Amino acid sequence: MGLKRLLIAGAAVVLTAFPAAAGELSFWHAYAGQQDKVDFINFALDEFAKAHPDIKLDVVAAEQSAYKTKLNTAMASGNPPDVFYTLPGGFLNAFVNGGQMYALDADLAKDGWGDSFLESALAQTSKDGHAYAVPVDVDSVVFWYDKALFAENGWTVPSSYDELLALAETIKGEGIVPFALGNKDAWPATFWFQYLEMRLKGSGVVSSFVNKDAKAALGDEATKALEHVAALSSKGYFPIGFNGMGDQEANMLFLNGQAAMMLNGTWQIGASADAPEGFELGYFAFPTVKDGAGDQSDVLAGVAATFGISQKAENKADAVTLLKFLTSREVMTKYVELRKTMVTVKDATTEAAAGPVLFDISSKLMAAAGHLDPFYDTAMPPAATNIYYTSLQGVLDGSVPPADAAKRLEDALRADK
Amino acid sequence: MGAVRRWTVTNTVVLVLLTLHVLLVVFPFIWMIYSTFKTNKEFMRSVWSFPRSFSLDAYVGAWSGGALGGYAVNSLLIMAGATIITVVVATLAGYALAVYRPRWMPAVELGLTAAMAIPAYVALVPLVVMLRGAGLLDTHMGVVLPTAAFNVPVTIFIMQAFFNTLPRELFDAARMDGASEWSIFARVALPIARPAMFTAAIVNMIWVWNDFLFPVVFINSPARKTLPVGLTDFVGEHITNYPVMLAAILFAAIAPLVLFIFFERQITAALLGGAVKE
Repeated sequence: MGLKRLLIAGAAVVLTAFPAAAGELSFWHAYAGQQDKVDFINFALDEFAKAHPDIKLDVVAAEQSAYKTKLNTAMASGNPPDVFYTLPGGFLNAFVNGGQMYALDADLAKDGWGDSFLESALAQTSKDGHAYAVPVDVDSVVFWYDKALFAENGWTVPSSYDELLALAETIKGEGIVPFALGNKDAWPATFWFQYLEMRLKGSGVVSSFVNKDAKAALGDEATKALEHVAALSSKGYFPIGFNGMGDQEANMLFLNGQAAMMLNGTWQIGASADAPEGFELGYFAFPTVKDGAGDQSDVLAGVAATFGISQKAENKADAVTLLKFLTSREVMTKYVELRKTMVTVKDATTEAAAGPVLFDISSKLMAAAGHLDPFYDTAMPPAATNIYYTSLQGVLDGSVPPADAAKRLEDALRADK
Repeated sequence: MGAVRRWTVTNTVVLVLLTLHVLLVVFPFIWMIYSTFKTNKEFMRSVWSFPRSFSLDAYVGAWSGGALGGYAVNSLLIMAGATIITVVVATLAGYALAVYRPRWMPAVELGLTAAMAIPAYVALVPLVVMLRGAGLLDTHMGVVLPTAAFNVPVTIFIMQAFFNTLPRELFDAARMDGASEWSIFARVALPIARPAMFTAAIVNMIWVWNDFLFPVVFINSPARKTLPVGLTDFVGEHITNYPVMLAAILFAAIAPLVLFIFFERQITAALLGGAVKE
C-alpha cells in the first residue's frame, strides 16, 4: 500500500513539533481577511519596524470573528498577548472587569497623547474614569441612497420622519423596495430602533445602564420606537424575508437598484465601491422625529475598534510606544485613506484621504452632532445583546408585541450587575 | 431474463424526479465553477448570469494572494496525523470491546458517550493551558492530539459496531488452531476490518479537514494555518470578492474530492459488506 506509507510518512513529519518563535512584544490584531485591512496593517508594521528597529514584534493575525474566539481563549487561559486589538463596549469591559487591561491614564496624560483623540471616542473605551484602550476608528450610521435613482424618479431627500414614510410609500408604489435590510445576523435592524430611541428619548440611554446610573430607563419611548419599527415591517417597506437574508444580499438589492435606501454604517462606502456603473452613492441624516425629546442632531456613531495593553505585559514602555505609533496622525490618515473609515484621532480624517462623501459626514454631520451615541448592541453586556437581537427580530416578524420587547430589553439591561 | 422491460409511467416519474434532484444537487457546484470566471463587478450585477468573458483572474488572485499551497500542506499533515492516530486507537479499542466483551464494558461505553457530549468550546481554555505546558501551542501536533482525542469515541463506536457483525466462530476457530490473541487480531480480524477502517478514516478525514475551531485557536503563525482558517482571509467582513473566494474554495475542495475518488471503492465495499451480512 503506497498510500499507507505516504500517510505514515506524513504522520512522522507531523510528529516533529515546531517550537513557536518568542518575540519580545506579542501583538495580536484582526486586520485580516480583507484587502484594505491587510494593506493598512502591512503599512503600519513596516513603518514601525523602520522607526523602531530595536522593538521586535511577534505578530498574530486572524479574521474578525475567528479573532474574537482566539482572543477570548487566550485571555481566559491566562496567556494574553502584550498588545492587542479588541472591540469596545461589552467585549473590552469583560477584560477590564477581570483586571486584565492596563490602564493607560498616565501615558495618555503625557505629551498630549490623550488630547489627540476625540473626547467622545475616548469615553467609549473608558470605564469608571480610566481609559483601558485607545480608540482607532469610528463608524457612524446614516441613510444611504442612489442619487441617480432618486434624480430619475424625482424623489427628494426627506428631512422629517413623516416625509421619510411618505417617500417610502411612493417608492413602494413604483415596485421598488424602500429600505434594503438583511437582518439575519440581527445587528442591521438595531440601527432603526436605536435612532428612533435617540430621537424620541435622547442619546446615552444604554450607556447609562452600563454605567449603573440609578435613573437609567428606556422609557415609554422604547415601546413607541419599536411600534414604529413594527409598522415599517408590516407596511412592507423591507425586502421579503429580510429576517433570513444576509446583510450582503441586502446590499446587492441596494446596489442593483432593487431597493432605494439603506440605513447602514459608513462601511457602506467601501461596500459600494463595486457598484454597477451609474450608481452614485449619497447620504442623508436620520430625519427628525416630531415631538421627539432627543437632540435631533445626534448621530449614532460608535468606536469600531481599539487597541489595548495587557496587565501582564512585561515591557509596557515598548507596548505604549507601539500604541502611540499606531495612533499617530500619519498612520491614522493612512488608515482613512486605505479603509475609507473615519478615525478617532483629531484632524486625521482629511478630505484627501477620506474622499468627498466620508469627509462630508465627518466634517458636517459628525461635527454638528450634539452627541455621538455608541452602538447599543456592542455597548451592552453580551447576555443583554442576545435578548436585544431576538426581541427586535420578534418585533419585526410580528411575533413579539413592542411593549413586551421593550420590557424584556429593559429587564436584561437591569439584570446586569 | 424472460421478463420484458416495460417503460411505465412510474419509471418516467421516478426519472423526472431523480433528474430534478440531481440538478438541484449539482447546480450550486456548477454555479460555483462558472462564477469563478466572472469579475467581482459582473458578479455583483447579476449573481446567476454566465460570465461575459472568460477570465482566470480569480484563480490567479486566489493562488497568489492566499498562500493556499502552504495551507493545503498544513491541512494534509494535520488530517493525516489525526486520522492515523484516531483509526489505530479506535480499531484496537473497538475490537477489544466487541470481541472480549469485558464485564466493565458498559462503564467504558458510558465514559465514551459522556466524552462525546463535551462541546469543544468548553474544552478550549483548559486545552490551551495544557498545550502551552507541553510546548505544543502553535504546532501541528498541538492540533492533531486534541482533534484525535475528540474523534476517538465516535470512531470506536463505528469500529465496535463493525466487529460486532463478525461471527464469533471465526475467532473461536482461529483460537482452536492455536493462534495467539495478537495474531487473531492481526491475521484474522484486521484484513476483514479493512473496509470499515477505510470508512472510519474517510469520515475522520472529512471532519479534520473541515475543522475550524482547533486550528484557529491553537495555531498562531501564518505558516502553519490550515485551509479553512486560511480561507477566511478571502471572506471579508463588509466587502467580498466572490469570484476569488469561490476559486479559493474550489482549490480547497480538490483534495477531498481526490480522496473520495480514490477511496470510493472501499467506501462502497464497506457499505455493501454491512448490507449483505446478517
